Amino acid sequence: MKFESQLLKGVAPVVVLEILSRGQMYGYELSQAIEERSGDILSLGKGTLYPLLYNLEAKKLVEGKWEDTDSGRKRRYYSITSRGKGQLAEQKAQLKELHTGLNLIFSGALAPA
Amino acid sequence: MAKGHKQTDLQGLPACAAEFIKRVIEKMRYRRKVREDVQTELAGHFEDELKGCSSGEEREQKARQLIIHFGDAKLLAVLLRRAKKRCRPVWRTVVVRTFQTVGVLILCFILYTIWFISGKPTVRVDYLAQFNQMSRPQVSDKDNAWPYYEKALELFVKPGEELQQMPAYMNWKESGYRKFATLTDEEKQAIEKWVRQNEASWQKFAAASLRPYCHRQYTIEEGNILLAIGLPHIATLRDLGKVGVWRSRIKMEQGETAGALDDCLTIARAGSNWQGRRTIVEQLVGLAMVNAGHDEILNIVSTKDISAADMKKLQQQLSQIYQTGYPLMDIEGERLLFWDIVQHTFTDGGLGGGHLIPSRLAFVADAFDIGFGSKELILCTAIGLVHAGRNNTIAKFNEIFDKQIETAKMTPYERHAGKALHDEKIFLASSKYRYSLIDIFMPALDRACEYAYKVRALHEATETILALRRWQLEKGQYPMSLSELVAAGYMEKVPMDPYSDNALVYRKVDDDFTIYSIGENFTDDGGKVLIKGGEITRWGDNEDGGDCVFWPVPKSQVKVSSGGL
Repeated sequence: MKFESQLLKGVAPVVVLEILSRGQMYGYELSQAIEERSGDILSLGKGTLYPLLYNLEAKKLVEGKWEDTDSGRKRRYYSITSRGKGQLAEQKAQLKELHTGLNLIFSGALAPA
Repeated sequence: MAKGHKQTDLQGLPACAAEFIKRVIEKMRYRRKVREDVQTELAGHFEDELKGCSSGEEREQKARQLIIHFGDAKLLAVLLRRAKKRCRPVWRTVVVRTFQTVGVLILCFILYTIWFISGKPTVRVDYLAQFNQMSRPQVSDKDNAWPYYEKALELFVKPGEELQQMPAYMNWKESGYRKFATLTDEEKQAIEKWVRQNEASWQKFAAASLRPYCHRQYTIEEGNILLAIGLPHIATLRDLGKVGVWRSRIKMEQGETAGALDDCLTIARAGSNWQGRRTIVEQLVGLAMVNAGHDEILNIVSTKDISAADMKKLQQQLSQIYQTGYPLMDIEGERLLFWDIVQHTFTDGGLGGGHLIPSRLAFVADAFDIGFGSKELILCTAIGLVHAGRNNTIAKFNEIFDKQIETAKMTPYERHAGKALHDEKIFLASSKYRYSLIDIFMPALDRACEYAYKVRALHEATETILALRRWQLEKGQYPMSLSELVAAGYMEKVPMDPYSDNALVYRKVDDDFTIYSIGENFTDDGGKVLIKGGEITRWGDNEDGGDCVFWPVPKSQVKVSSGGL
């Protein structure tokens, strides 16, 4: 399913923070995880992923660090910071509220099948 | 960007992927280290995505799909740059912004300076014509003394080198040289010869002195400023004054007292021709001639027996010199001189009416040797940059100058008593650099204006001395007070002391009398002259006091420092 970009843009930071809250990941791994864990419903454009990660890093919600791999290549791993965790909790609560509100409006039509 | 590192990251990727990443990184236009990191990360992403592909063709195809997913390279580069910029630490942002701001300011300053330096003045007003108009009296040309002075200057013979080196010529003002008989034979011969050589010139000079006014058309060289006004006649006029002094002294030696006094009167009259509305320099030279003429008259009166009738005639002749009133120093022309300097050193129009052009300031500074010039163009530029605009400069000058004109009319006593409205140096103290042009070119007129008052006092004192001597010859003794002289019709009014705004101090002393001004210290020192370093400081001074004694005439062998020729 193809989402409106503006709709996805609003939730993308929460999604990334949520995924990273379960462990550090590098860019490719993160994009794969989003697709897998959303049952291929959510797919973050590759052109959006890295700018998003850098923006989150600028806000000190995530933290990136270079690590050497077995293949000798360097990878940049991102992990959620304590500030990111706080932000995630806050936004999750808001999403929950939003979900409840939307459910009421659409009379349960938005509830998962 | 380090090429080696870049190539290592991109090795093994399909050409289209490597090309895409390269394009993104190039368009990022950001710090090399950041771009290297982004390239490594993107290259890693492509490699991870392509890991499962078995053939080169499949890798190529998947890479193309991935490029489509990444979207437009330029847009991606912009998003990456923005995001990375946000990652920059605050201190770094502050430093970068500071440098950027400073850079922009420096650039603006350089551009402004180039524009500033390349300004050109626009000369619109003919201040020379205005100055000529201003100094021209509204009377008939036939009474103008200038054609006679011009002829006198043409006929003038300069003193020879030998005479110029002689002490009698150099120190002619010293009382020791006042008697022609005291000179060496060599000096006598040289001076007599010089006086003879200038007989024709002197006759024209004497004829000129009988005219009521002198107006000379001023000129300046093409492109020059009014301050450079040509005054080639001044030095010769002074020399003709000296010729007159020596003529008088020679006649005294020959017993021709009347002729000697006539020559002194000629010098004083000629001097008065150069007072009034004209350049300050001309007025000062005129005053010096008047001063010298009166000094010589007093010297003759103090050493020769003159009849009461001759005394009366001499007094009348002296009075006629200033029939229409004694002219104080007229400084109005200086205003035009300054306006002309502004016209030649400022641009015309724009913010503040124009700005000071450094190269023009340097040119004017060079021309008038004011301590800096074209060699200090940076200094001139700095002065120009901080200097007030044209309109403000003129307004400030007018404000100061108007007050200076009022002050010029005040006697030294009035100024001393605190009635002076202003002191231009104090006036400028807080804004000296903003108004450097005024600070540099505002003429110091206080002493010049004071000198006019001194010469007036000398003139009135001389008239009074003649009246007193006549009184003594007619009545056998001197009067008790000057008011007796006035009451008896010997004089029209009592002589005024500019340093007290009261009458000159007069006292009978045994069979003689003394008359003096209380001098520059504004204090009556009892008629005592100040002698410093063997020289009489004629008007005394503030530190050591002293009065200006007109009578008795000093007979000691000392110099008299006063404004003679």
